[in-house]
Amino acid sequence: MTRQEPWTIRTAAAALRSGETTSVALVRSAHAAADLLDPQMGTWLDRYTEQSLSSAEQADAELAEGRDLGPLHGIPLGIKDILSTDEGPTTAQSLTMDPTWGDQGDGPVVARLRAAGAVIMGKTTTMEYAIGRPDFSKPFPVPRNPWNLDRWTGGSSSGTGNGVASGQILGGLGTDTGGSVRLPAAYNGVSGHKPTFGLVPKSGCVPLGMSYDHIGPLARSAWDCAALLSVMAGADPSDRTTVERPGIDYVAQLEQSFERGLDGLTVGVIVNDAITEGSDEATIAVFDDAVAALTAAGATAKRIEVPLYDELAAGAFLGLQAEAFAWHRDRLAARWEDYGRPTRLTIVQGALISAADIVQIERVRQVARRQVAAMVEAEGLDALLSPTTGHGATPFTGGGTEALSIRSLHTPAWNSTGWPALSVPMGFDPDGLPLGLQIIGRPFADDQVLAIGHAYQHLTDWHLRRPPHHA
Amino acid sequence: MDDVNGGAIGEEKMVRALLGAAGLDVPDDEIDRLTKLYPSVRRSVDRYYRVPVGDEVTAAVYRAVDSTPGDER
Repeated sequence: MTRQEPWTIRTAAAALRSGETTSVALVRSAHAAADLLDPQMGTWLDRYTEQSLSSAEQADAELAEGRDLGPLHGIPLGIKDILSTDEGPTTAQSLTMDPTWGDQGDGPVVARLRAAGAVIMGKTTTMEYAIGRPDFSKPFPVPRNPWNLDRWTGGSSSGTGNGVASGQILGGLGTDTGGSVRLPAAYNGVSGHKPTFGLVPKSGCVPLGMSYDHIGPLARSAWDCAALLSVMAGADPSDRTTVERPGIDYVAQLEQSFERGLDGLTVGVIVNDAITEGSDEATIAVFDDAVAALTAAGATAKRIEVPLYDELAAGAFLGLQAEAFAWHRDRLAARWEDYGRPTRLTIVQGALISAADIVQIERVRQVARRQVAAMVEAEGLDALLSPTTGHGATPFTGGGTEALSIRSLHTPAWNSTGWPALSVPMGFDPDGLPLGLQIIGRPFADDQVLAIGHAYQHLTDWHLRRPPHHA
Repeated sequence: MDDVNGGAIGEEKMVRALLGAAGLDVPDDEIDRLTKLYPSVRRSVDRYYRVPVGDEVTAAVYRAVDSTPGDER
């Protein structure tokens, strides 16, 4: 998909309607890019070549007949391989996954994308069960970063992240339990949104931490994420954690907000030690520039400390380990050696936590959520800002990645609260690796978070930068 | 660390006991790894007991009537 500027969903949708391109051309180009790049990049676990071309032909015919299903119509997307689809089984990138699990076909979110005319290109790589680490000992691709192949993509929505960044797809689905949409968004230099918990149904997704899991979109821009979320959002009876709310056209909301500008917007810049001490100097400098760009455009910034931030962040890991262990216990007992070592040693830590511990973590989680909401209300904040991670993409060393410092992940606290959080590219570190700006909103203020990201992407062009390994 | 009878119980024994109770047979080298991790897991968890939490706060919110999806959150 070669152009001067990389395709976005927005530009491709316009080109499909102006006759500049066709869905078949986009999908053929996407497969050609995958043929070229995938052997190095490790983006795909399975590609649905025939089915995707057939869907693209159908999209072109429908658009030619004037049957327009919206901005995703004819757009090639990738689906993280812990989400079930009609075309084939879900592996969760594990030898231990039950091959019949995917027999249920499309989960609600994939079905909604398909009904909106999106073209499902295939299944993208993840970390094993969305929690492992790059594992060279198992018969699965190891995803690599298109900005530097010796660096990790971040995880666990790795293939969707590097697929978007390298121009193999225009967008796709990831899941986020402690940062697994936002981390690969930041490391690969693309945009990724973790919606409010309960906005998007999780059925059809292999669970990790059931009360921390979110399905979210990755794409080049906030606008593109808004187009995806507009289709993905909405309650479904198959997931009783979803919340009945009026449907929202997030693209329309974002464009209306853009016309109003940033005047009157107040953002809280998080200055907890966990952020400032968990980020390198280059990241803090780039983050300060991003905040300055927003304030120069009319926003007001306040430095704030998030109450019980450390408890929210650590609690996401402890809680997800316990929840993951509940799901994996019997399979771990039967097939310990078939799990990747990093995966089993992470999940099994859930066995070291007692029932009383989980009760107390959950009680603190509730109190913390209320305290954060009260702080945001008292300070009159429309959103919170932090770097997404404390540094650029981690190098591969030995059999995996250099120890990933949990302290450098500024994402998991928002899995504990369930609040929406978007990562957009905000610049580069001295090694030329992308860095992410995290924009956090109040519950169900996904529209506002995306609007701020969209406004920022009108002030900067970081999201349109092409990595060295690009179609 | 004391066991229920007041005797000292080592971290490795504790890890083996917890994994054994879950029906897991874990190789020795990975028991060693988990034994090294165990004190930091405990420290992480113990901090939650130091946060003031009202006596009425429960771990999960239950309602007698389940109406619309999402009410349980």
